[in-house]
Amino acid sequence: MEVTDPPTVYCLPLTRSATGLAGRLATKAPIAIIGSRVQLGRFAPRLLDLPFLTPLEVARSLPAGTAPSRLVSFPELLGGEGPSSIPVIVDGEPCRFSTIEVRLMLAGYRVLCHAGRGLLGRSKLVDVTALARARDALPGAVTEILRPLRPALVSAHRDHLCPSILGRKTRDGFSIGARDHARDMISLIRMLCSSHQEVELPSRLLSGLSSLAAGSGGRP
Amino acid sequence: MSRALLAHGAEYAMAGRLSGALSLSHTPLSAKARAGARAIHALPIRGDESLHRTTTGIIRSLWRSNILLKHAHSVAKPELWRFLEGCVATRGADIVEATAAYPCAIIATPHFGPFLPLCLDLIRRFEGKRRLNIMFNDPALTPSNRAHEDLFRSLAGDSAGFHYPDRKGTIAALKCLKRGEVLALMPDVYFQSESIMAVPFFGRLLRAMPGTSFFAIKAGAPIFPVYPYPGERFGMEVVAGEPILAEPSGQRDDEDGAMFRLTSRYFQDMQRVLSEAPHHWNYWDTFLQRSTLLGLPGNGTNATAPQMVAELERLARALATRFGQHPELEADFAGFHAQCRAMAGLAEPAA
Repeated sequence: MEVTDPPTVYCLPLTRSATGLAGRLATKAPIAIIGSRVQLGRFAPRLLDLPFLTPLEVARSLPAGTAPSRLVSFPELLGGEGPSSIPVIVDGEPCRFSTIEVRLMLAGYRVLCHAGRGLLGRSKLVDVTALARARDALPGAVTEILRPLRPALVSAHRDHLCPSILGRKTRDGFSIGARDHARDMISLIRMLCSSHQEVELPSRLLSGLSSLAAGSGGRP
Repeated sequence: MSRALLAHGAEYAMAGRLSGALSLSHTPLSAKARAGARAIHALPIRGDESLHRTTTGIIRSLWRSNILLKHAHSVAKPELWRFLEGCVATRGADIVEATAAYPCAIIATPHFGPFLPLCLDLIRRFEGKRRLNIMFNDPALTPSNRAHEDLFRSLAGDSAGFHYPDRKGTIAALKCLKRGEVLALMPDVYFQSESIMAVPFFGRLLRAMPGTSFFAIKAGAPIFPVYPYPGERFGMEVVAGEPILAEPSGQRDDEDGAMFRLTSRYFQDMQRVLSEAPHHWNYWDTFLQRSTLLGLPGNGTNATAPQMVAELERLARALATRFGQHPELEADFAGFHAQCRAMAGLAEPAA
């Protein structure tokens, strides 16, 4: 592949074959990964040598034209509860996915999606740019980008590196995640107040976070 | 020598030799071991050991621990007591003598190596000396505990008490400690529960139950960490650590804070043990799922104030949506955040 190719974002499922493909793509020309180094590092440590950019960093670099011309995204690892994500029904349940791939497409990137393996076991990539561009609303465009990935997303086949990850993108998944974050913050506040005695113990904040961690809202 | 002892002894020796081959198979045991090995290798321990070797070490520990338990289930009490007396080595203090120095005591036996045979050995050691209580999950919730509970009760008779970690069991266990008895429990057990807390462990925040610290603080009991290792020969080695005592509460202390500190100290001790002998912990396969990253050096103890503030800000970003739904909570956080930034000598964040 030549570096003069149009700017491209590769959308890959979190499978062994797809992370292997990401590694091979990186050997051909510079490429960056959209997402968290820590999160992906758990599943594909050999990709840790590549540069990582958050979706926000990518979005900010688009108007200036400084975004890398080749990017890899793992949609299962992107997307939160904020406005930069939208719900898409997967396996009968609304799961939140980032819109960063659509933003890249609108900025002129070609979107190539992993579509399983073809003949001789080689990873197959399909160009969904035209299909996604033809959709007139954001959810439709995201759905089109996810379509080739669906078999890997919904069936917990052996190639998948974390079959439970889709559950974390549901409403319940985010709720559990928020409770975990609240617990983590309680611990950090206690560590901070213990090592820096001049900081006042924020009792009201701690009890609010405890309620959040217990799943009963932000007030005791 | 009984037939059971001969058969299990032979199987135990075979487990040592065949663990490497089993690690290449596709069995639930090897899958659990491989997941555990991957978790160990995600941490800065066992850097020089191959994944296969770590997997083999985990399989050997699980297999041998299971044979010890199987043997305990297959022989009568006199033979089991003879086996434990002859085949259990003690390194460090004798746990009965060590706990005798305190009005009451807690023995912390994590899911490490042959932890169920250890419970049987504790029943034997304390029999006729001091009443022992063991807390474990209700078999109605954890069906595999049914057979173990039946064995515990049949061997202990009236010399030991057994409690579940529900309201009734908690009150009963606390009364036992206040009467001067010993309570053995498993601090690393994990259920989704409202009372769960997150403590620093291998650079991550581990979800942990605060029960052990709760009992220690309420009863003023020291926590004795005890670790059983499957032996190279058929048997096990029991290592009792130094007691961990609750710190006297300070003026700015609250009960939750005291429990957090004591639970953290216990898990620091466990981290030290696991760093040296990681193969024996049963929960490595779920470790990454039940913990989250703590972006601070040295479990936070070596972190500078700006590093701690940065970590606080990272978590606040993760909770931004929830803060948006609870303006009072967001305001409380903003006040605390400003105080921390000032303490760390950081400028006011840009609006």
